[in-house]
Amino acid sequence: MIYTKEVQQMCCVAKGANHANAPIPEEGKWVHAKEIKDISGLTHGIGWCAPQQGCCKLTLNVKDGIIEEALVETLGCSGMTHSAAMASEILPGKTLLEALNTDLVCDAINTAMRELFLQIVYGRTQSAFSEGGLPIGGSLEDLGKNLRSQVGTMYGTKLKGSRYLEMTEGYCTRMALDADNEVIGYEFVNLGKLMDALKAGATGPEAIEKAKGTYGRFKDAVKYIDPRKE
Amino acid sequence: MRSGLTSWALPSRSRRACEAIGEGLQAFCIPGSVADDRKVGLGHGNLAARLLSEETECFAFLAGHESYAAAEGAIKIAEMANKVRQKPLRVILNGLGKDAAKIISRINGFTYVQTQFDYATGELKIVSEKRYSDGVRGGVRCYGADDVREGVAILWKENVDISITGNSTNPTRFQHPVAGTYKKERVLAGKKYFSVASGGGTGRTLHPDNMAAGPASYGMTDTLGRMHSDAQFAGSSSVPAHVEMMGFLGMGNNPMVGASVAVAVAVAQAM
Repeated sequence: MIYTKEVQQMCCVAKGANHANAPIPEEGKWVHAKEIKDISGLTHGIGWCAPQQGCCKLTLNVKDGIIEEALVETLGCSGMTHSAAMASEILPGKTLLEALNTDLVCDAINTAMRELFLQIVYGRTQSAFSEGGLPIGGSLEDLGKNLRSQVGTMYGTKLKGSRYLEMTEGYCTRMALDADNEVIGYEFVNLGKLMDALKAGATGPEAIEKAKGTYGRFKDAVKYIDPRKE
Repeated sequence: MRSGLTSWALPSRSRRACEAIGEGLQAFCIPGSVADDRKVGLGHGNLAARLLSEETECFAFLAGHESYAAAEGAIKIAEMANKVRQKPLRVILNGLGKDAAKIISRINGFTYVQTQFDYATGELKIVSEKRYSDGVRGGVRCYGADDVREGVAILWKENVDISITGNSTNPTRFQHPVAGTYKKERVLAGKKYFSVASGGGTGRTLHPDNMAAGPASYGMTDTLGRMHSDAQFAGSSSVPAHVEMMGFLGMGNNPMVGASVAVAVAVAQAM
């Protein structure tokens, strides 16, 4: 380190501000974070890509600055699913700082990483007040029992109205309409349950029946439609 | 905390039972945890006492109006409380957005109440009502507000005595400001109002504008809850793991409210 001549010639003014930086809540403790190893917690970040055609939800469980667990969920881009596969291998084991700048080239995942970094270093994690944080495996809770992402797919036109294609409960098989032709409920097949039933040896129709459910006033409908065909 | 209960009309043995349930729940809070600090156990006991009191007329669910499922818990709680109440508890839903309120009413079979707020006079007019089903669900009145002021006016229109802030959507822009403003106005009017801060928002560490910069840029939803609530719950409404993260062992908020009321009702029936 070299001081310029101008600085060398200055007189000294004492630095009186000597408090620690503002503490942030992390895993039930209040931490004055100075280095990346001082950062712990489980939280989420959401990212998108330059052409805005796809997005990523990233969940990391970080202990002492190191990513111990990564859940990468993507939407809207087939290439991103492959980048996510790479990310699930690349991110765990890296420090938070390293993970900002890996050689992953998916904008959405990198943007999610940046947004997650901001959340976590400013103390806004999901586990800010949880004593000891969450166990590794905690991010899988976001997926539910059948380990599938919560995805919604809906479509609507001015001419023909709304169509429910995929709800968090599953693949929408039928929509229920009342006497005014307005939506009052829907029927779905939970794809996680469907696959479990098929793997356990059920026939196709049996498995579908087992995985079926309805929401809202489905039974009160005067008309049922297939949202994909009608 | 217990002394606050004495002014509410409730047979003293039922009240004592509710208090005891609250104290029991409090014992399951890890010392030093957020759940312990917020007194979530005692809060649930107090809420149960309010719900069984004949003085309480209307229970409002201050909802985010982001999902079809938000009202389920409130309806079941009211059904349970009505087993021992002489006058049934009215239940309303009040959330941000008129189209959302209408669609939620239609799917769930509630009564959609369309309102128009006059910003100059503060008057709230009912434009139309549509009941989407018969029975208990049809009795639930669901409102959509354009903003905080209309939300507060809706609570006054229904003379709400108890409210629970709903899920995590819009907590800093609607549910907490509505509850806080109504609380102030009720206090000024000399009327009772028991406000519960619940839902995922209370467990989060969000900053209102999420600027991710500067000191204390976390915890706004927790702070808002502390500013107006008589009882604050721990973490997400229905996810046991989230509540456990906050230091309460056993169950999620919605099940905890349901269980507190169910046990209080059973005790009241047995007496």
